[in-house]
Amino acid sequence: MSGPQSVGSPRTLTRTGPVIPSSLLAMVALVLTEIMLFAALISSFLIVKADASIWPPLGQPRLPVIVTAVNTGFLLGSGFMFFLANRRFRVGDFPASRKLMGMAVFLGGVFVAVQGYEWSKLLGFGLTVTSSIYGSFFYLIIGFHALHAVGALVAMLHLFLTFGPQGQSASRFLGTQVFWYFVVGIWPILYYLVYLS
Amino acid sequence: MKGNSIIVLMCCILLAGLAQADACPVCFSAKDETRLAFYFSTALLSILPLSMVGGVIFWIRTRFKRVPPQTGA
Repeated sequence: MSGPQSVGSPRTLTRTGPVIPSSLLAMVALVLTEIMLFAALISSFLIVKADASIWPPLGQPRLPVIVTAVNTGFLLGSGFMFFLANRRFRVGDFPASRKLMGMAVFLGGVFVAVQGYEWSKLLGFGLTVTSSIYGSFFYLIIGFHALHAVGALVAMLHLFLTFGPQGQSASRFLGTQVFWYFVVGIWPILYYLVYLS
Repeated sequence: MKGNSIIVLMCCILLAGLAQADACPVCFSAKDETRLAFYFSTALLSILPLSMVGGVIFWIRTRFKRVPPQTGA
């Protein structure tokens, strides 16, 4: 997103760079479409759930509410670490920023690993995509979120590994941060709707 | 004149062949909960994109104002 640029006259007001980095703007646009995707999934889930007389359906295993609540703490902690990493990044304290980024990646990895473990247990208890509409929506909504979490973690890990003594490209850092904030921010909504309500 | 007759005839055939249209989205369930869920979904999916696009435009505008143009030599 570039501002107006005037050339020719000796005393002109010019904008030398973009007001918002293009990569950041592109990431914001991507996140907006992802929000709409999740809004559509949530809408259909709410309608199907409202139609059901008993929810969760009988004969289906109950979701691990407590373990996932603890796991939510790991994810929120990861988001907070990224927030702190950004603050260090802004003041040019790159070693501290890198360390905090590493913690964010670690906590995000713990979240995904615990989710994977819980999924394997749920599959063992008989909750599959085809076992009921409950299972279908669970794996669809939570699976989409997990897919986004894994994708964001790969981006974060790459950012962490290429973090040199001179830091990192600010637009790359911010773009990854926006995506991770989206993954972290949408999770409590999904947790409440799918696990608690 | 002949063309008009053909059009009228085609319209009559089409109207005669119409079946009842069940356009009601809650026909499969007339419960209050389902109706409310539809209202909520409609509101969410209508308002969300507009507010997000509005938010981004506002954000760009704010950034545009915050970064002052520099005086060229």
